[in-house]
Amino acid sequence: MAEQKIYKKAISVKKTVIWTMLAIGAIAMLTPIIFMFSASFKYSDEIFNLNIIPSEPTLSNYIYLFEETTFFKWLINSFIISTVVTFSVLFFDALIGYTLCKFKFKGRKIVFIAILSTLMIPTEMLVIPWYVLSNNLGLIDSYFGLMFPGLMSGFGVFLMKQFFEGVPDDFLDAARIDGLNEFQIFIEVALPLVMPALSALAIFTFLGNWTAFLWPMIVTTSADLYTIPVGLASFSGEFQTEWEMIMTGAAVASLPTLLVFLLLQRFIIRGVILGGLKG
Amino acid sequence: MAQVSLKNIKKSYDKTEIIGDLSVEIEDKEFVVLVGPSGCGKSTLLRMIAGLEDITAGKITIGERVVNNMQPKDRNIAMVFQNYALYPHMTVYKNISFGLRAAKLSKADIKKKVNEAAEILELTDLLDRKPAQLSGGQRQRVSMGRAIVRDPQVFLFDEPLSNLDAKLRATMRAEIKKLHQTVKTTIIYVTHDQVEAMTLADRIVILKDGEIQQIGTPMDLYNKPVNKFVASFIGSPEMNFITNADGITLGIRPEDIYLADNAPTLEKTRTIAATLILQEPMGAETLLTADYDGTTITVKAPGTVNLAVGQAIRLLLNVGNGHLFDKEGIRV
Repeated sequence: MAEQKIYKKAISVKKTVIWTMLAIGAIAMLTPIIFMFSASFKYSDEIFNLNIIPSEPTLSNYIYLFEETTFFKWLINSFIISTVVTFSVLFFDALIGYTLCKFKFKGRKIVFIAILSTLMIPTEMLVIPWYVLSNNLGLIDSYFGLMFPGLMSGFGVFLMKQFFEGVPDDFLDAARIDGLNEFQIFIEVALPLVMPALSALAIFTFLGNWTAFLWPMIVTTSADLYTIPVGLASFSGEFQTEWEMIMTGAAVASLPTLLVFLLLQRFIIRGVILGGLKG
Repeated sequence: MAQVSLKNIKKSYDKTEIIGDLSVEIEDKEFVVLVGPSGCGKSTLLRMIAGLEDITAGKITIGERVVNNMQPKDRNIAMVFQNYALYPHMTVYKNISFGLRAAKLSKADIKKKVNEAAEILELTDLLDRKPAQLSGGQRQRVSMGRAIVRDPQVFLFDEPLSNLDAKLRATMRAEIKKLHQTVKTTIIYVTHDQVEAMTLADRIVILKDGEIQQIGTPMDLYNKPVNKFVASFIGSPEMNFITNADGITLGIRPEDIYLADNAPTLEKTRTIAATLILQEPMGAETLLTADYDGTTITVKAPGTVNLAVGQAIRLLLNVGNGHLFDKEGIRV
């Protein structure tokens, strides 16, 4: 009996430690978000007060944001760019990963290593060549200029290839006998089997592009083509920073990211359970 | 008409030869089982007939057509895989109809064919389920349904029962036999299990290291194995081999050895003295393992036998049913 008591005590100590750590983590992450939402309902003279509930809550920042600035346009820009890039990455990275995984051809390993090695080059190093390229091709200040560096990603190819390794060749052979061509097999048989990986890749890519700052700032010159992060930065001037507007814009911008995550996370969990092969 | 003819088939990967110059003629509506130990090339051979692997040399004919350069879908074959290969994201109905939809059949035709197949395989109540909700046996029946609806000239089975437990395997074996009698189509069936081969086949092809050892009816192979490999592969428990000083081996099956005290009267016999080292009661019969001058001998005795391990026993060999093999293991 005594032993059992000690054992139970050890468990409750362990639990307390875990919960404490989680609580610290949650507070550290949630505090800035709470302040962001709180500040978006404050007038500018109250903005440096640390009270969470504003003394005079107001929607004026939101009204100003949507009526007096081009924020809505930035939102649309961000949405278009993130969506197009995400679909492009899902399609091409899956196709390349599938090809590298399921087909044997000369130079396959070299191609894969070449794609992997792009992961080792930081974005900061790439922006200059990208800029020169965009400049020569007349892509500066255009949608395509904003999107092209992200249309395919080495990380996505790697992720998809690893997941396709787990798809047994028998599925593909069965489909070949069923009379599908190789592209149909990819779309109708292989892709649905890697839904979890696709969902994860979609979340990463969408969020990465939604929050991307450096390249959109470099490649755009007119405010009409700004994405949200670039637009928000424009609220911060040389002599004055409109904090309440930055907070309001950031608050609006964070909602779609939450939505994307909520929409896609169930696929990740559900998709892990595959039942077509023997258990 | 769907004879399958394999002429001088060769297969090698890089420089490793998997199959070297193999020829078989399979008759229309025949049930042929390719059997052999793992790595003997039987699955590769089946995949070459299906068109999932290229052949290095030779000629494959299905019906009247040489299919060497044809896509799998054009060969008029259907294949059942060892791990079922059912698409997990589709219902049973969609799995079975997948090939028909790819072939652009009308919805009414698809429905009719799927329903017919479902009836033959008793899957009608399961058509809305997903593979994950089915048992192993049901999944394998769905996989057979997918093959049936294609109305193929030849069915190819790649170890379809190896993932099932022993009891289910026996049931499914009977169903496959029944299916062959219903659809009356040529079947080529790969297995490493000699019991499946014996019970299902019209003819068995025994393979070893990519070469055919013997082709024949199950009883041919059982009664007249051409070499020691075939003799030991067919029959369970395995045939006993006793080698004399000249290197000649007598092969004798466990069912042709009796305890001398209660043996029937036989024409050609020989009695030997051995020591019992293991006794395995199986109900109807008891398997005895004995040591005879360093050679292990297995005996199929009646279930009533009860001896003590270590005991000296006298065994009567029914030499009349024995097989003689020379030094190279070839039947004399």
